[in-house]
Amino acid sequence: MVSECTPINQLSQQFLSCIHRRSDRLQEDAPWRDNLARENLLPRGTLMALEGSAGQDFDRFMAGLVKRNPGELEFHQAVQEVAESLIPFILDHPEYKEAQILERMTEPDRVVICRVPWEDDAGNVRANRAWRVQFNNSIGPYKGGMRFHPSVTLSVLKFLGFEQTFKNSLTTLPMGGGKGGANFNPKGKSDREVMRFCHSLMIELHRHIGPETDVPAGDIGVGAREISYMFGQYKRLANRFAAVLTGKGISFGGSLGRVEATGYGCVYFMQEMLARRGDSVEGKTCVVSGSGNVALHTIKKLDELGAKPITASDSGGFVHDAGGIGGEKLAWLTELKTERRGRISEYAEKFDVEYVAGGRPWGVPCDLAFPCATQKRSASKMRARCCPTGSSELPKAPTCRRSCRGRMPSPRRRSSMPLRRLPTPAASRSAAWSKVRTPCVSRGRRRR
Amino acid sequence: MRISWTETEVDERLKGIMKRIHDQCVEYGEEADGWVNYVKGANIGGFVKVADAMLGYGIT
Repeated sequence: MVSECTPINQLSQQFLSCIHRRSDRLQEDAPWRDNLARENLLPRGTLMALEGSAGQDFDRFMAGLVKRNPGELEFHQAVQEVAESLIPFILDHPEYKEAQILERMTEPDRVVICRVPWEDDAGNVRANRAWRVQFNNSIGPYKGGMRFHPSVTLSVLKFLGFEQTFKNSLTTLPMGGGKGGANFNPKGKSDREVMRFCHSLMIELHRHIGPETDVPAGDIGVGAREISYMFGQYKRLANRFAAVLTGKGISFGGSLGRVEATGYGCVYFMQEMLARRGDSVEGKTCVVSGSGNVALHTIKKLDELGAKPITASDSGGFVHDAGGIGGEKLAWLTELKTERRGRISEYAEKFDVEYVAGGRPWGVPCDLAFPCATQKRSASKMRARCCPTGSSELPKAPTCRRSCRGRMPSPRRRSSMPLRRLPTPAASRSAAWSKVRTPCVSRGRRRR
Repeated sequence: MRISWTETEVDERLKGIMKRIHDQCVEYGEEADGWVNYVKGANIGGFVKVADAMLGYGIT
């Protein structure tokens, strides 16, 4: 059963009772909309933005989706955010509506669920559950990462797989959308335990993947080590050295530049946005959150292109280096974070710069902002403090999508706009909303 | 086949891809006053390609 107190579920339940009562007067007979909006249970700008027949279509579509996928809150929210943009567009293009494209796109092609038994170092028998959600292969083989994390559920994977379809399509490459994972926690496991798990998983998974079928990649908890274990087992089972997993070691079929690509791509997108205004990143002061793979490569590329990245953060806080993080300082930071696994505060001590414990960098004055941390919280704070004007989105950023909507609310309304309560259990939040990697332009008023 | 691209080639292709993504966002997200709603542009740009393929396949 669906749990209570969640926006979409309330929406659908009240919506359903509403249409049972009086299906012909849907629009007028929906006072619950106002109530929900007042209580901030609906994202602002959603139903208000979709009025008339678009709003009606949106409500009907979402109610149906919730009914078909009870309790899958992450999936509901992901679809909702995409549907907000799409339903007005579909109304203008009736061929999509007649063919029920959006309804068909929100149903995965198939989902494989399997048991993954393995033996730990102490000889105990363990069993986990693994999924592969093959969402859509209309424009190419299913493509999307595997996630190993205790928070992984079918709902989370459907959310990610759905968004992956859009994201891959937008790259203009011939790739469909898929996502997989297991509720396995690699943290604290030995190499051999991880190996046995990966090998066991592949015994089932190898039936469902292939270069023209489905090409999984890494994600949270699945790095080069896990991909290599899985590829080793695939190769043995299929007796084929096939291009069936992304993220392998360079010596056995991996690609150069793959690790750097997310961070660099982030900066390249920013350059494109600025180029449209006849501007460039050169000489710009940049605030970057995070200090992982994405953040470090974003900083590196910014430094190379003559911009001045001045912040980096981790879960402990952020450093503010007004002189710019670049050159040897960046090399030191990269070594700190990737080799020694140290805290960002050590950077502040080493180079004698400002360190703010527990803070996020969005209060630091800047020209450009790059949220490259893996926590959605960064985006919420960002909305509140840094991003009232123009902004942009890469496809896979549900929270940031709301937070950096690109609208310009009045100061009064903004301050009275509490962050929306998310309908996800706390444990799964950070993982479920972990892909907020979006550059934002934070100076230059938007005309309205 | 099985020949790796050089790092420079990967980087060039990445630039090209990011540019194409941006162009699609502008194509589908530009509003009347010239301001670009990148969220809308990305959503619709991603949707159209998949949707057109699905239309072409018929009821599958």
